[in-house]
Amino acid sequence: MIKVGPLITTPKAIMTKDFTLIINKSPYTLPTDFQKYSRSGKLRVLYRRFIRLRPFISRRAMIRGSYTNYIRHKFHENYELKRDIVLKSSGGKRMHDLSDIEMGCRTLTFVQKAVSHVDGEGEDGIHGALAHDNLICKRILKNLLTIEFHRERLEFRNAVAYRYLRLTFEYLDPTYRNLKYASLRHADTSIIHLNELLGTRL
Amino acid sequence: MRKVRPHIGGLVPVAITRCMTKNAPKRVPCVPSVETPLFTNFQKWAGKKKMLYFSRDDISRSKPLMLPNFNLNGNMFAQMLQKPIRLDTLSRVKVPRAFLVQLKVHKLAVNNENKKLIELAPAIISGSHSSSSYVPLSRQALATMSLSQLLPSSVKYSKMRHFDVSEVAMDRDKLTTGYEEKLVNLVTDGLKELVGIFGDEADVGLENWDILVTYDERNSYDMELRQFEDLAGKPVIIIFNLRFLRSEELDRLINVELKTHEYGIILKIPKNENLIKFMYNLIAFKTC
Repeated sequence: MIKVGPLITTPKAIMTKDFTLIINKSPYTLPTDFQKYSRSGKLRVLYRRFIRLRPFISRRAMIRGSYTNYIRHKFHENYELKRDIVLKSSGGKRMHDLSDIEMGCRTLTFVQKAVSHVDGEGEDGIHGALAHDNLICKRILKNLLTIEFHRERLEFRNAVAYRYLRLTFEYLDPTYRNLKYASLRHADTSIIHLNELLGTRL
Repeated sequence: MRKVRPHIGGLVPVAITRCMTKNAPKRVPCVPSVETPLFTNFQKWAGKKKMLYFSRDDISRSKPLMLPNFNLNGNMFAQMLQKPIRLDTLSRVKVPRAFLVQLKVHKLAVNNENKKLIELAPAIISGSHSSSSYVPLSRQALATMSLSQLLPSSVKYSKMRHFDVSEVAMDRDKLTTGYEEKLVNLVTDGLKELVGIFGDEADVGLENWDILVTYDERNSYDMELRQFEDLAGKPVIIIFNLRFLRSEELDRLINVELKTHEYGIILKIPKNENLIKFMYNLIAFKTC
């Protein structure tokens, strides 16, 4: 592969053949005095960071819309209920006791990784491994947004489906009768298991 | 009559009156220091995909680590979730390929006994050599879905050749029990292969996110997440319990021949990826 260096470099960004690489990351990362904020302040800071990352997720408005809806649902949903239903059939124990703010911070790191470019892509060593890890994050986030789009489609103007998919999470129970949700259940169960292992809240 | 010049001293600034005089100092023209948006905000209209940039210095300097390595390469769930997206024909929902069963169409011999032209069968290792459809990883779904739902759309809507439903050979038992048997055989063969390899690595310890394969009658969970708090580093382990298969051979393999740990066999994700995938498929297929 022929490596093309930066085409244009400005104080704010580096333009390469494929990407615009933003140099100043401070608007997208947590402030240094984050721990001093109140709970509502912390939530607001996190929500702002997630929404600021919108232009990095995609250039297509539809995917950006899916991402926004996804973030909004994540700030509203009853994650503890969802988690308990899934873990009931896989051991029944929680793997960590992080607060929702800490889980949110880790999720923000996950999304940042998904939209980051690291020097040393395709090389061996620390930087190559980190770049590959970021690539997996990016693929997972992309897949999550696709699943989210289809979930929105299922619940659209369907109050019953909305209740199952967003409020009571009955579809996550393996004994749930409707086979229509089987593949969605497998995917969502895996997402929650991944969250248990990483401490995120995807 | 003498002309009276109007007194303009109070109205025109001094600088302008000087310019108007003959002896005004000559000024060298220079480029005004205006910051053009061409360079200050070029990233806004460059038209390329935006990403945050982390140089090598950024990564080594930042404390605490701004961009940690999650080590997702060794995580089973991350590996499944990053697989390419495929359409589930039952619910029309798109999910990663790891949560679906791939069905493939095979051409049959011309003069077969049932006079069928093509056959529909599940594919264990996914490939792209012929037209395929994807259905949920669920025994019940495969047993109840209609043939038209199971057929790949490229066969259903082909303009070159119309296939009637009576021309397609499909055995329900082959779809459900056959798929399961294939997986069980692959798991057994995979474990048998490990018998020779594991002899040298018997002292391998449990690390975070390892997969522990057990055959435990007392444990009621097929797949379990468990944290081993008495071990160093308190690793979180994914436990597969294959007791639901009721196979004496697997019982002997797991509990006697291959037992590397006091609990069972340790598998690692990039190394034993296929074997782990078959086991997950079996558990998901059976329980759903």
